[in-house]
Amino acid sequence: MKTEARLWVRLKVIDLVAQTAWMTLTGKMGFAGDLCGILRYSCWMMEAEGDSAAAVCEAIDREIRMDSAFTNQNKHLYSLSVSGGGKEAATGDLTIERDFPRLDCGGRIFACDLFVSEQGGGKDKGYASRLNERLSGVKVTGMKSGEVWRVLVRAEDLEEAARKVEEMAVTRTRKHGLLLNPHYQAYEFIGTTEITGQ
Amino acid sequence: MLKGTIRISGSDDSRVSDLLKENGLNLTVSEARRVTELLGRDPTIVELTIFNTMWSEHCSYKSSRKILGELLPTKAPNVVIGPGEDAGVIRFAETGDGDWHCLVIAHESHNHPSQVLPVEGAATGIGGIVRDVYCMGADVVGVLDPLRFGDPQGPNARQVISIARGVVDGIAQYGNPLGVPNLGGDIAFDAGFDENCLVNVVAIGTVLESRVLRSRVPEEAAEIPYKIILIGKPTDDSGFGGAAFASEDLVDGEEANRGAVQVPDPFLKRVLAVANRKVLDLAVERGIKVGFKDLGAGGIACVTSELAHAGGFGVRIDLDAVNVASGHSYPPPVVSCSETQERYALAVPADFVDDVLKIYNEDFELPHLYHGAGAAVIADVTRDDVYTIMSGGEKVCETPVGTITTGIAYDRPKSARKVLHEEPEWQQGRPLREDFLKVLGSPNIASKNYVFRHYDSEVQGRAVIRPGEADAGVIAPVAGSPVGLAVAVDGNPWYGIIDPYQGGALAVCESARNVAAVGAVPSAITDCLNYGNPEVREVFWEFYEGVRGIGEACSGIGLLSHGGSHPLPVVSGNVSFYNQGESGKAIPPSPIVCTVGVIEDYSKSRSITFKEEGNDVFLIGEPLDELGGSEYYRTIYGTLGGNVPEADFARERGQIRTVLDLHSHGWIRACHDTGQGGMLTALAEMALGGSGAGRLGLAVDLDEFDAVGLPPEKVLFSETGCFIVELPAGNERELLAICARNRVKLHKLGTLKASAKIEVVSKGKAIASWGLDELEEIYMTGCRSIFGIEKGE
Amino acid sequence: MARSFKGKVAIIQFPGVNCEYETADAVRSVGLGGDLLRWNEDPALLEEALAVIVPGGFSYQDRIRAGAVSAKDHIMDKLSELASGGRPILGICNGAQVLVESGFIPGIHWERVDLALAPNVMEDREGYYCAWTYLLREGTDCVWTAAIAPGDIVPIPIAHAEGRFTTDDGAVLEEMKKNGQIILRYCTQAGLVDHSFPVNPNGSLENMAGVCNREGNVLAMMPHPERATWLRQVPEDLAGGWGTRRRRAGGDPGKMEAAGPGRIFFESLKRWKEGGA
Repeated sequence: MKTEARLWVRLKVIDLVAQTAWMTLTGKMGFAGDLCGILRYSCWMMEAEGDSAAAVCEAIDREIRMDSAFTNQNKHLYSLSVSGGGKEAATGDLTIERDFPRLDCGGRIFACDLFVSEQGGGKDKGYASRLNERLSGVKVTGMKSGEVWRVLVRAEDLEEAARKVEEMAVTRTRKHGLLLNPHYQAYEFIGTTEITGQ
Repeated sequence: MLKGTIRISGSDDSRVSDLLKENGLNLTVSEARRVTELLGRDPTIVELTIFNTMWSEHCSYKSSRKILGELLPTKAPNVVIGPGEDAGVIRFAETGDGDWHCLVIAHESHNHPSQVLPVEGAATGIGGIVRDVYCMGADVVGVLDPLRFGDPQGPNARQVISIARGVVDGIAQYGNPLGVPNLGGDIAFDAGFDENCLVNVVAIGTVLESRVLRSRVPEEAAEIPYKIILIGKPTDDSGFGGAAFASEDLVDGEEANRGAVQVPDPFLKRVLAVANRKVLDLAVERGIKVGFKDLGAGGIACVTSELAHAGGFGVRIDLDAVNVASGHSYPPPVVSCSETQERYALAVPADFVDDVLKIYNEDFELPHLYHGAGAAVIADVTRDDVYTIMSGGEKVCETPVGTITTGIAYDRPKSARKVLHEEPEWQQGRPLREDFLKVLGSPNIASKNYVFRHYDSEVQGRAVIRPGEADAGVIAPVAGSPVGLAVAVDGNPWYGIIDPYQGGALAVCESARNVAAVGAVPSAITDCLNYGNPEVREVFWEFYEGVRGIGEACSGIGLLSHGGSHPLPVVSGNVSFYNQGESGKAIPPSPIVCTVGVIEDYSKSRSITFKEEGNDVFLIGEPLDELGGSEYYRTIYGTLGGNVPEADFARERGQIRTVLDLHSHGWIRACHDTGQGGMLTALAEMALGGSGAGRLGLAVDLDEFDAVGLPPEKVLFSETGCFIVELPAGNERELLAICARNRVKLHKLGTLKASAKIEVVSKGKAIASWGLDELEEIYMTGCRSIFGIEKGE
Repeated sequence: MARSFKGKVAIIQFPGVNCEYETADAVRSVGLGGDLLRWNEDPALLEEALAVIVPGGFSYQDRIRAGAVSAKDHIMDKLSELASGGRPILGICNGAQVLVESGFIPGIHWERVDLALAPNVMEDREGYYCAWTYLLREGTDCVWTAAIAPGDIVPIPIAHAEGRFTTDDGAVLEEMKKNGQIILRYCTQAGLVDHSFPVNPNGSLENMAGVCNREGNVLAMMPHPERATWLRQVPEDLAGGWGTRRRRAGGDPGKMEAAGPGRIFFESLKRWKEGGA
């Protein structure tokens, strides 16, 4: 049966890259009023064949815990979720749906998840074969690897939130954009939620 | 009673043991009682934590101190500062106006953290070692990385490879941004390191003797008020328990491992290096005396107590003045002892404080580059001898400063291991051609270009010989001067398994040979002594033998720049015990030695690559029946063997003198020592060169070695230390005279041809030959499966 | 004593750069004055500078993307003014990344980001790579290469993890080629522009190693000329004419202190200075 799996990994020690992104966006690019928080994850979005969502989840979980190309338990938190055949399975020490930095912002706040990957997906095949070398009973048939920037912004609505995040992210000129360079990176929004009051 | 007092006296042993565990301390009950005895009262939790760190093996050298003091020679005319401070300092060239250019060198290990978190562990290893050199007032000009990993083809291959790649990444991720070139290193793979890798690091720097900084409060503090400024990253709880952690056996998955994550930040370190330089230059300009020390194991407590004690002063610290990680608050023991990276302490006169703080906090904007980073006054130097820590307005520690820095030392018992390593049954007529291909392509022999090309070896622009080009890295450290510094690391673990004494002795011999091979005179050594649990008698015996070997080799080879009557001095070093995994088996005894050498004219240093058709190739020295521990035995026979090479110091000295003589005459075109893989491997390495593109070959006539009385394989693969040199034709007579004078053996190996192949000839017949194209492919890609990625992945 | 950069080359010291000192040495080796300017000092000091160099290293530790954060620094406003006004600006390695992220290169639409210096793509390895390369001089005139004849081959070392010039915009690439802005390309020792690794050490589009703007006053190059300014810096085993020269200098420390292949970039600036605007 076909399943879809998603692995999110984030540092449990301080993330200097996310911290620098925060300091640059708020301190040098004028987003101090809009930006409420920022987190960064490594992310692998996969298609896998297996008996059930639960079986795929268990098998992949075993492998990614042992392979430091994906996670190292000493410095990472992770969340693995698999869906297929109408069922869901999940594991890991990170609850993505509730993983937000502490906020001091007023107004309506939205969390936008921006998935950034390298055009051409150079590393994807390597990640898939690393897993497939060791998996039995489960086969990874599709892989997209990259980073997710979870950007928390103050906005009137979802559309405005996404627009602001895109402005912060896509580097078009010296003064506009920071998080990705569209000449070698691709991006897509994979989730936007309102989290006002959380 | 001071705040946070722990009731040791009056509690029975089991209660004390519980108290220690509850507070996360690794002190033994008897050590805790000793603290009480020293203080004359029950200790506070802060005081106990301080002793816990300072008396950990890593900090105190309690198991090794006595032996090191007895067996290692540390004094020589070129030594400015020997072991005991953060780094050793030797003179290497006069400035011409009464001062001396000095080399500063430090050598350390970061083994356990790298096994657990390879990238961060190795990175913070580099971070720690460069700090030791910076804080002597020197500029760091290079690092080396001798590494030991498990078997990349064995049952734990996956984890071994993951750790190896992580470590190399970690070293690159720190050294490259910091802007310090990699000048050399080596890697050995053996199943004995499967559960406990070794990550040793060396840093070298240069400084004028007049500007060497000591890690102590200057004597001026007796007249004018001095303050201690803490500079760098905001203090947090990372690495808390790190030093104590390094002295524990590794157990997979335990909570104990998690608290020890140290977060490296080479960017901050680079900014600090530039800012420190500004502050120190300003102090020199104004004639202000400062004390400077970096924070490592034991954090604030260790650095302040040592700065004060070494100067003969007391100190009063206010923990509330310490920059801590924003949004966090930590209890006093954590703030006092945590091992947050990228921090320094500077002892300055009170009226210099504002200028210093401005440079760090404003000119270099530390607080803006990193939340909470900066420089702040945290302590007053006092003219009594009391060490006081205040927190929240209350005293949490108060002891005589001599007490808190009291060392601890044990006499460990030792008993010799009784393992017999035997020679294998000799196999007559083995296929030499195929066997050599196997040896050349084995991970321990094959080119490490995947590793050294991952490191920046060009930054600072002083490199003359880079990793992979010759036996030692060479830099031209003084602008406009021809003086050169050469540096190399060695330490063959298999020799140590067979005979720990030889393991130590030969580590010195090999690294000294490496430095001589580029024409530099061996001038000082450092060592890192990696062993298992010293409380096990056989392990302690291994350590003792290794140190004895190093000491005797230093005396045996001698400081040739000063006539050889002084020993080659040991100027710095490190001991790492408790290297063993869950299974309890200790790692192979692994003394690793770094030798530095001085060459008056760096333009005479040569790469190992064969240079010109028609030139002659000679062997200085002679292979003996010494294949114990050799690459040939291990790869082809699958055994260690028994006849480990035996160090012969007179022979080593003679051979080194010969090579140095040839260099000073300017005759050497290429020079390479033989060691791992023997003579045939060394010849292939010279024919290929570091890039693998060399195409000059030769035909080696084995008849030359008839008198040695060994089968061809033993002649070609024996690891007796010799030198191979390429000289222009026509110098044979003078060469013979030099060899005779130095009482060393000489054999002609052949003449270089544009044949692009290596041949072995006996009785007029070629018994094997290899094309250099074929050898290049095998040699250059031998480590790809470990450090590279598959093509097209 | 007030700071002045009049007639001198200013070398910008962003936090985390690490080649600034040897870059200053290289500038001085041709008799020009050179001094460091911290990123947070008064940008007005640059107004009198002869030229500006953004040196190599890891400004802001390459966080997010190499050069991305430095491009947002305040001092870039002044650099933009000077660059668009014809001042010679050289970005070396990390400096090149800063210029690309600031849109000064290719500079067809000023400050529009039309290129990226992306992670290296290599044959059987990934990440940071340090090696000597050969560069072929082609294309239009540029202040920084004025002393290099078209068709000359110059050996210079590289050391970087994000050196792959690439663009998403085919029209920009065509325009760059039409204007002759690709002035340094990776080649073999014989001058052949071979696209395979390790001749092209990072997968750069068109083997681009150095790109200038249309006007020829701004150059972004990934190789490090300051690491090849003296003959002693050339590896003894390097193939070709410079390697031979280096081997012949063995045993002669005086010869070792002669010019290396990278000095010509600084000679070019000097020639520009002496020839007038």
